[in-house]
Amino acid sequence: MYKAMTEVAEQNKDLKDLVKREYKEGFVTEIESDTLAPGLDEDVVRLISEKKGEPEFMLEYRLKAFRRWQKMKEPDWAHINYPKIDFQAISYYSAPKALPKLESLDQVDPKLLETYEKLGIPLEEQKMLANVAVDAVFDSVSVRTTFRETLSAAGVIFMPISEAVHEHPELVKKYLSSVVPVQDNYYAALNSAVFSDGSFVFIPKGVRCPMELSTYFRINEMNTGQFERTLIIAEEDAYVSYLEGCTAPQRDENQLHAAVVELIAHEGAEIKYSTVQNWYPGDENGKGGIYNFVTKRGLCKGDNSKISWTQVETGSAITWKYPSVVLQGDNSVGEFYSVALSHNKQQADTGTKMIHMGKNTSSTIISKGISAGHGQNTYRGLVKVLKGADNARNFSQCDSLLMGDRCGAHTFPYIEVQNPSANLEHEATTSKISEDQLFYLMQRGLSAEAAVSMIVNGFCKEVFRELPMEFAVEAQKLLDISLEGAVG
Amino acid sequence: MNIAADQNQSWLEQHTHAPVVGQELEWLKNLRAEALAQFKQSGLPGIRDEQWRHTNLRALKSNLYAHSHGSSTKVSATPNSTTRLVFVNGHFAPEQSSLHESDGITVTDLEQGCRDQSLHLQDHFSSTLPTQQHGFTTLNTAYCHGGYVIYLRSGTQAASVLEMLFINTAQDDDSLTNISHTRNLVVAEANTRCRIIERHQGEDGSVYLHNTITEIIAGENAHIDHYKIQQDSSEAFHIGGVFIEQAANAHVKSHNISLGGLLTRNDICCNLNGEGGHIEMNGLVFGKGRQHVDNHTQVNHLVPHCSSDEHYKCILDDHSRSVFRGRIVVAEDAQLTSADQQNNNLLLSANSEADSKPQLEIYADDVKCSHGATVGQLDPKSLFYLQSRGIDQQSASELLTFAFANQVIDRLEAECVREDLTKLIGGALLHELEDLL
Amino acid sequence: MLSIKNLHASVFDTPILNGIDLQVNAGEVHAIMGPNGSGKSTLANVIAGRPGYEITAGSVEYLGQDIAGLEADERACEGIFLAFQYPVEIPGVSNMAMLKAAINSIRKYRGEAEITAADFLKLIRNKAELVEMKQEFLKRSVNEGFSGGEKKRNEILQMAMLEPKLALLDETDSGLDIDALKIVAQGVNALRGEDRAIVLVTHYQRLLDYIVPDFVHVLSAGKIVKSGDKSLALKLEQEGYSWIEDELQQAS
Repeated sequence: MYKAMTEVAEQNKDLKDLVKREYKEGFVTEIESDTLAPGLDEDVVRLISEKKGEPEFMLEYRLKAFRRWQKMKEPDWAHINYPKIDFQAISYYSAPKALPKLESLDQVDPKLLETYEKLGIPLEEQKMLANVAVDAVFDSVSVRTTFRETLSAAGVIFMPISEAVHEHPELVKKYLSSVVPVQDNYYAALNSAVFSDGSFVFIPKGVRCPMELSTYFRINEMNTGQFERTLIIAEEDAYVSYLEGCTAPQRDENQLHAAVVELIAHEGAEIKYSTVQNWYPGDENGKGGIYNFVTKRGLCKGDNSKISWTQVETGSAITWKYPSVVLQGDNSVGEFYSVALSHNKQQADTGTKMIHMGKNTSSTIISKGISAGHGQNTYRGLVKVLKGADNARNFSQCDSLLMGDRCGAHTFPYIEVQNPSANLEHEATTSKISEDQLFYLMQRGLSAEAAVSMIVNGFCKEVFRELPMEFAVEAQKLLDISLEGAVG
Repeated sequence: MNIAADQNQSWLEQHTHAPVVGQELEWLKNLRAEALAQFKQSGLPGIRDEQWRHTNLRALKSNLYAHSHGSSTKVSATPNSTTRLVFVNGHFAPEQSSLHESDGITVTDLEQGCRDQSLHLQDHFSSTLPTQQHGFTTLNTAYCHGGYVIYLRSGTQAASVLEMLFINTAQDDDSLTNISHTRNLVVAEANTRCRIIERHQGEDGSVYLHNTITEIIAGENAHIDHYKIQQDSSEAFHIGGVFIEQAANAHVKSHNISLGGLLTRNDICCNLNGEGGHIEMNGLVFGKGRQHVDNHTQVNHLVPHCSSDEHYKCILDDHSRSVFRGRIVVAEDAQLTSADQQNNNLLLSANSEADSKPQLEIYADDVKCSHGATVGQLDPKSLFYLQSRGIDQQSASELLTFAFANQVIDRLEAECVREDLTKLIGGALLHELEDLL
Repeated sequence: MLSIKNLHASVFDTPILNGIDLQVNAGEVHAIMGPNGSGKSTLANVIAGRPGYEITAGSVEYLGQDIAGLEADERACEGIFLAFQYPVEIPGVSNMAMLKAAINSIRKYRGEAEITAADFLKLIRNKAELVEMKQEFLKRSVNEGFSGGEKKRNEILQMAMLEPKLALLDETDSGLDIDALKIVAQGVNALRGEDRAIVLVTHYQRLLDYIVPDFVHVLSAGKIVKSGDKSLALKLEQEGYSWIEDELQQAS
């Protein structure tokens, strides 16, 4: 048996080699930015609001959030370790300088466009090609929204939230923080106080959004926290599929990211929200990388509504993220599909919350965690069935795959049932990548690397299947790159 | 001083006249002093503590407690075994007990055990307790005044079941609530074997708080079967702990059956310290009325090649509520660990509630770990099937409920326990069916 | 093609093979028989390069090259195929995807161009017919939820697709009913040819009715104790393995 152990050790060593890879998106765009000096007080909040020329209600909203935030404590229950964040050392606003109102793509700074091209999202091309509307958030200010006209013909509103504040103040007022209250948690309160931009989507009654909506986030400026805010509303019987991709340049310092995403699905509406997160994870010694503290929550407000979260998380040094669904309407459906990869010194504490309130609600949770190197991967999920939620159904499957003997995989489900007609099933497994499977594939002529990639992709299949086609391909590629050199 | 500190102070005052044993022993006095200091720091837990989030102690804390100094309560039940120790309100009742001392096996009470220097209890007492202890545990160390001691010298096997009976009663003065702290020690040297059945009982309707801890130290290749069968009064508070340390190739089975009590909390923890160790944890909760049962289990896989297997099943009727937290930790070098844990909850009534928190925390890579948790009700298809065979709905439900419980009962090797539970949960129904079949 | 000399091998440090000599030439079919635990499967796995199966003495030469230093995938690319006794299930990975990757990997090794999607589809349809495997099986995850017989047929399909030079069949007949056995035999026989060699590891002679071997070897306690032709297998079928043991004892 000792032999088996050394074999394992050797394999792990090779695994480690595989895991080593450079962060491809690690380039910095040199653009003049208008950045606030680090620090946060009421004046900074006022300044942010002023810089954006916001109406009074927004300033009040921000100040209220800021005052709540000051009284709150940073949460410490997650299974993550990081040096204390100095919230006064962060700059809370960064915008590419002298940003005039742009009429066409030609007016966008070519360097910016270049950045997007490096990221693989050429706006020019997308304009003609893909059936995807892109709202690119470069650091904090939304630079350009494409396809807006096509969408507006269908009655769909898709614009930076900073513009929505002016153009649709009644909608913003009505829905902002209606799902995630400002005092919901520490990071949500901070975001509410200082958020700079993000997407706003409104799908009117009965409209099936004619294309998939997409946003790319990118943190560029040094020491700027990115606090974007997304609000998606689907009216009765509306449908929308929203894609979010994230990257950040490689830097030694840790950068903070604290976003809030709120989804509201009215009766019969369906919102599908997909994320591929590839933020800079830090180097192999854990230096640098994004701290990602995100609050994402959807409210199935009306009967027969459905919200589905799909995420592929391969980046960030720290991930703290629990996309949730509040199943308020009868017969509403919540779904959570997740692949989270952590290697080197990455730590991910992620999962979901499914709160069953209405009758005949159902939820599905499929979580696939992959730990390699010194990565620590935690699934944390709550399924709660409240008293009135008759016939609630939940199925949860949480699988963890371990690669290397210095990583960790943790599964912390919380199940709370207050209604006896509920049926809940939770299953979790943790195992190392199977040597039998590896040998089988290698016997068929595949290299160790190809074999690992194949097994890992197979492991994640149930989640990839939920992604829109283009994203699924990208996710698969991302995983392959992340695992380059992972076994021998 | 804030309210919490006030409360802690008042708790300590209620213990001023606590009877304790082994006061002449220096090591024990020191341990007690340390524990007391710790209690002063931590106080009793509250719902703000993550580990107590689902268990409200308000009712427990609102009582005024007093110790009973022995009692003449007689035990009516006939013993299941030739070796039986009886404790009334935590005090050893020698006249009702039959001790055991032979062939390297000592079965005695805590006071005797502490005095018997050949047992070296100072090496074992409190040795299994985790560094992080809640207030009930420290209180127990500080004030325990009874309990059993089982010492198995290398190579010995207890021929019969060792039965430990704990009876608690109400105080005569009903403005006061009876409190008792018991501490039990099982030290099993290498290559030993024994089966212990711990029963906890009380006169129905009586109010008391029993705080009891059992420490089990299993040496190499020791095989220990520990049953804890709690049938306390429906108004009683039961706070229990079973702490297990296992050396190489030791096999321990911890069976935890909660049938009685108003509020029950058990912390069952096992450290697998030597390769080849195996722990089996079985639990059965049958909640009725307003019963609240909170079971916290933890298995620490600290070395390679160990296995753990855990099955907790909860049946909840009326307004009862169950909390289950099962934590499995696999340490960094504990390769080739195999761990499985299942928690199944059956809700029988509209007002019952189940909370389940299975947790896997894994720092090694060559492991096979899994857990599963379910919450549900009786399968309507099975119910219909039975009814279509002519069994009335009530009986069909009882039968299926028993079948659910039986998946744990079947895992119990002690026949007397299996029979008791079958009678208790299967009830008259099974008899009837036997007649039918 | 395959030349094994004085092969000693251990499985996770337990010695199993104790000096095997075996010569297999192109165009030949060899059957390795023997009681349980004699080392038959170990031999097949050592040749395929399974981790944990270590050569402690002697050598295995394949096409004139000592293969001890080659990884499992390199051996596969060199043309060694092992049909597993217990084919593993790989959830989420479709049979098709796996086979396409395998073919391309082998082609790349040989410096050939990748197979086109159209050619691949044509090929796999063709071969699937040979082992009477339905199209839907090709899309399913590798061996997941397959019955014992389906798994074994899948192994033969893979062999037919990869066209190895040396095929090692490890108890491919175990757990097969007579119809499945015939299908498997059909697949194997289709592969027989001048430039290929096949080594069948089997406990029973039943398979040898359908795949007639040129040589039969009996393995006992990690050694080849008797070699012969097809008639040896028949004798084993009738009389069991004990007479060989007796013969050995008398000899010593």
